[in-house]
Amino acid sequence: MDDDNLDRELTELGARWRAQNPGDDFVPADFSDREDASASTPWLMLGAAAAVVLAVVIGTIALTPNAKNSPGPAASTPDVINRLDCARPDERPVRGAPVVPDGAVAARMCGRSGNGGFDTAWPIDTLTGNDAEQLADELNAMPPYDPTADYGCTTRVPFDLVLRYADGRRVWIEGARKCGLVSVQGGQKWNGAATLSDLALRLIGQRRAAHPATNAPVPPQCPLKWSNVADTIGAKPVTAASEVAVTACQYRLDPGSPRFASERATGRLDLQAVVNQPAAMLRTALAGTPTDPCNGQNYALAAVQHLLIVRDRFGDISVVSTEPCWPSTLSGTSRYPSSTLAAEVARLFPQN
Amino acid sequence: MRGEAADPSDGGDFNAWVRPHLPSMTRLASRLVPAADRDDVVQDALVRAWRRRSTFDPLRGSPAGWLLAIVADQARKRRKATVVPLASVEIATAPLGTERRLDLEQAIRGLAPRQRLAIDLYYFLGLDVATCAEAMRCAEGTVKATLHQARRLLHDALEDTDG
Repeated sequence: MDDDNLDRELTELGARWRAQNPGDDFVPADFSDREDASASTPWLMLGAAAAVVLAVVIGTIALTPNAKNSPGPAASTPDVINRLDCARPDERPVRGAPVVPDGAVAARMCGRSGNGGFDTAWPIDTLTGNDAEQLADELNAMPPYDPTADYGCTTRVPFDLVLRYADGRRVWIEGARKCGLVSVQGGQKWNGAATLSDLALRLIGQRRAAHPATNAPVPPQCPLKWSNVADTIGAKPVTAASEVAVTACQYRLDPGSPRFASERATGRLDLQAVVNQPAAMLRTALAGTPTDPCNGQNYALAAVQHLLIVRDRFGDISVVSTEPCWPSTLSGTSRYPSSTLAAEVARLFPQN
Repeated sequence: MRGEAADPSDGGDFNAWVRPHLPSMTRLASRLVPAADRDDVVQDALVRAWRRRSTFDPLRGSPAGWLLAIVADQARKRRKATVVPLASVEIATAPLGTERRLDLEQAIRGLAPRQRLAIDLYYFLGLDVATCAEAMRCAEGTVKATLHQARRLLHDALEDTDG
């Protein structure tokens, strides 16, 4: 699809949205008798403005690099590495071994638009020096992708990885568009989901150690499409003491779509609800059983599906299904949900 | 004053001046914050516009652009400040229709805030580039470049979804 087609599609979508949202239902307060706060406090405003100007001047002085002492354009300065560009390099696909060249000086995880259906802001961290080199070794050890193999689809890798070299060259490794698949520069494909997952967990751990989270978690949005509801990396293990925000999602699977767990069901978000007591819900979710009630056999999905989307203080996401045979890795190991959890989640939705 | 109510900076009626722009302000707030916060954002924007009405200069831009820029500011503040943005039980606000529309809406949600603002103003509010530029407080060329960049990212994201 070219730019013109997308332009037409957006124009059409926007027109339809405007027709559904006339924006005429807002009733403003009356402003005719209001005090004019800004006019009545001119000196306060002036003082505030002066303080802002002073702060900007001081900030500018503090942040402006001293040209004489500048470390110069060396590519290895922390500042340059921290700004390692996440844009996809405009380079030719890499084919054949090794997967990536030796000598990487920095690597960065980059969030991707869409992000597996979640609105989470992915952690973006940087590996440098020996860690980046080691990462390149791990990438070079990835087995080739076998298009006939079933890699399963329980975990996606919704981010890209960019490697940077001393000469400024960058190599872009794309996370799984399909489960298990990793491609390099849009070219050769490798079975590298596990490698990237491990990397993600390492970087997440590194980020958590370096930057303890201070903000309360924000309730996540449910993905709109059922097909985007694969679990993502991160937030593991979550314990009963973890501070989390939890959103419950209700999906209706499409009539006629294959509804067995090993097949690709389709469906859409029907309702979502922020869980008002996330700590209690988390305790119930963590209290699942390690025993698979389906003994590893295929199982049918009910037409209405309930999920919990759990976000911790770092912004990482975990998915918990209430399907009895669908395990979550919330606690770090596979746990199958209890009937109590299914009942508690179902109660959040009025028509159930 | 472009055929509209008298300029409030000259003592005109603020209510009458702002009224024609309320639907656009409300729509923009709908695009930028959860439904539960929409009215608060519009009301906060109106209060701010009222307080700052003396700074509006009709020679430098249209009332619509000036007011929408304030709505965008208030929405940004609201997004930063809000810890629990959704109602306890809320029906999904996404339009239910074709798979393609869902993909597109979802991809738009994944854009950077400035790119999303450009898409919302231009396509969803149906504004011209000049008014978008006023609302985004940037040059028209920047709006065009931002739209182009956003469409490219949407294109990639849609390919990703299809993949």
